[in-house]
Parts: sequence; C-alpha cells; structure tokens
Amino acid sequence: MDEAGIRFRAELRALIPRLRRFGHSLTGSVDDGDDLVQGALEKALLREGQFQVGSRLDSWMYKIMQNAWIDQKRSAARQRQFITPMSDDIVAVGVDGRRDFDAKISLRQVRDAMMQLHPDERSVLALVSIEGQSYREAAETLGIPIGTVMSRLARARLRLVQAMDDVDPDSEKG
Amino acid sequence: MDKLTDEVINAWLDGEATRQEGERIEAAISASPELGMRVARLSRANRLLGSAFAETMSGPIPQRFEAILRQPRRFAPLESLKAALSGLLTPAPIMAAAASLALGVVLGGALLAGSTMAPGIAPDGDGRMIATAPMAMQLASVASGVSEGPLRVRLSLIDEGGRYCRQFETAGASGLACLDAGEWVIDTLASGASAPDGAYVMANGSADPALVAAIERRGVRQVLDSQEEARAIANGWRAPAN
Repeated sequence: MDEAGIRFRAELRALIPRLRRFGHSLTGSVDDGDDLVQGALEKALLREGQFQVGSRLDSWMYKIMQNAWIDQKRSAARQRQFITPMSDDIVAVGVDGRRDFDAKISLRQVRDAMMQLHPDERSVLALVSIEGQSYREAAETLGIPIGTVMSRLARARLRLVQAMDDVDPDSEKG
Repeated sequence: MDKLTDEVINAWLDGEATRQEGERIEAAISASPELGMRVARLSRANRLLGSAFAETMSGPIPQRFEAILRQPRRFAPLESLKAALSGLLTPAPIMAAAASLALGVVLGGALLAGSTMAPGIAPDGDGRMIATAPMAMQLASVASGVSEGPLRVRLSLIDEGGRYCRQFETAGASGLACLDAGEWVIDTLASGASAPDGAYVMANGSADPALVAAIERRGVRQVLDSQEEARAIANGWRAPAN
C-alpha cells in the first residue's frame, strides 16, 4: 500500500473513538452506533479516492454516518412520535434561584433525554455539543444553512433542559 | 435593546458569538439572575451531555474495526484512474475502419450528430442508446487490452451505483458503456479524429474530457483487475456484491 493509503487508514483509526461516540449519541446504543461506524469505515475505504486531501476527514466521516443513520430510519419507517414542539414560555419554567444545579441526575437519564429529541435536532446537538464542531462545520456536515443549525440547536437544548428537569427530583416546582 | 434570543445565548455558550454579543450577554446576566439561571441550565445540559456519551472514548478499539482497516486497498484513487486513462489513450493506430464496418459497429461523427443511428447502437423507448448485438456481445466478452476485432475495451469498473461499466474504443470514437438490467447502455460517446491513413487517434492524444467526466460523475467503486474482469466475463456480468 502506498504512503497515502497508510496515512488515510491511520487517520481513520485515530478517529474511531469519536466516531463511536457520535454513533452512540445518534442511536442511543453503543452497539447500534458501532454498526454505523463499521458501515462508514467500509464506505470510506471504498471511496478513498474521492476524499479530498486537505479537507476534514472527521466531517466527512460524520456525514457518511449521519446519512446512513437517516437512511436507516427512513427504511425502518417507524412511526415513532417525537415530542411535539413546545411553546416559547418553556424557558421560564422551573427557573428557581434556589435550585441546586448539581442535582442528581443520572447520565442514563441524560441519554434518555437525548433520545427523546427529533433526529434532526439530535444530530445538530451531537455534532456541536458533543463532537465540538463549529456551527459552520455542522452546517456543512448536515448540508443545512447555519441559521438552521442555530435554530435546531436552540430547540434541542431547550428540550433537553426540560426533559432533564422532568426526571430531576430536585427540580420539582412548588 | 433587542431581546436576547436562545440562538444568541447558545452561540455565546458555543464560542460562536461576536465580541459585541458576548458583552451584551454578560451585561444582561449580571443584571438578571433569571437570565443567569437560564444560561446555567443550558450550560449544565451541555456539560452532562458530554459526560453521558463518553463511554466509547476510552478503551481499546474493537477488533471489528481493526479488521476493516487491515483490509488491502481494492479501490483505485480517482487521480490515479485519470492518469491511467490518459496513459491508455495515447495516440496509436488501433484498428481499420473496414473491420468495424464488417461488424456493423460504426460510431462517431454520424451518431454524435444524431442524424443517423449506427447499426451497433439503437435507441430504446427511454431515449437511451443501447448496444445491440454484436457490439453488446463484444462488450460482454472481450477482455481489456486485447486487440482483436473492431471493438477494444480499455478498462472495466464498477461504478458507485454498483453497475459494471466498460470503457471502449472503436474506429473514430471512444465511450463508456454500463450494464443496466441486462443491457449495455452507452453512457458517453466521444469522437476521435481520423488520421489520414484511416488509423484512429484520440484528438490531442489524451483521455477525452467527456469520458473522464462521465467516469467521475458515475463514481468509481472499483476498477477491475484482469482476474476480476475474467470472472465477470465468465459469470455473465452478474451484479457485483455490495
């Protein structure tokens, strides 16, 4: 194998922990996430010649995984209902100066809350909040305008906060 | 002052706000404990999210991934494919026009002008150009690089959509034919120039841009080597495994 091929594989290998994390945050399961990673790695090697040297390999891989995940969801055609949009006043709910923000909430509950989000919102949140992509990078990965990244992100965080409040015993509102 | 939208507050949390926006938010937070709480809750959700999905960030890389990365390279980079194409199509006398007439394969000027359909190619109901026998038989049976008969195949590949394609040349033209539901569909036909002695040369001696563009457009999953091509010929070009 030539030097470029060896380097390409080394870079892919170094990305694997982050790709697995992305898969986990999209699917809610390490195993299902790993299936996405496996498919993406195979695809990346098939398309090795199409990767533009100098462009971001991580963005390219996230994009492959994201597309595969959306395709899976479409073909599964599950009629799962996602929570309906909330009204704007939700930001005021639960605001209480005496609240303890280190209240006990298990990480499992955070993951559950993430899985309650609409897939479009979950993708944006995973890329920006977990993978640390900039808004521009996330927009390119998802093929949407930056403004859409921002609005989805705002909605997603709001819902996440609310879902976490719902399970957080210290957030009971009196 | 404009209302501080969630978008602006999030942008600030994500380090995407302008300095001016940042100053505005910091001032607003100092003035409003309620806003401070709102920001703190968003920030906390973000922080917990990172921890909630940290499980795969440590520990060894699963064997299934190591195995994929150890696989030998099977797919040619597009750049090297282009180089291969231009190398293959260096000027060379290839075949006599008479031979192609004998087989009824006449491509090139007349066909490209759309005035007359060549005997080796016929349109189907969808306006596609289909190779008819014997051209289709030639496409299905001739190995790349073998110089016999009027049709010469230069390269066999599998495109991104999983279809077999063969890059061919004949007197006066070169093209790309791809197998679709049992038919060899002519994807692209590019004209070449005829030298005075009737021998065929590519215009300017390099790969025709239309051909390279066609291959780029379809995408290359795999360029077949001679063994893979021989297997494909032997099994009648059955659909490649994905």
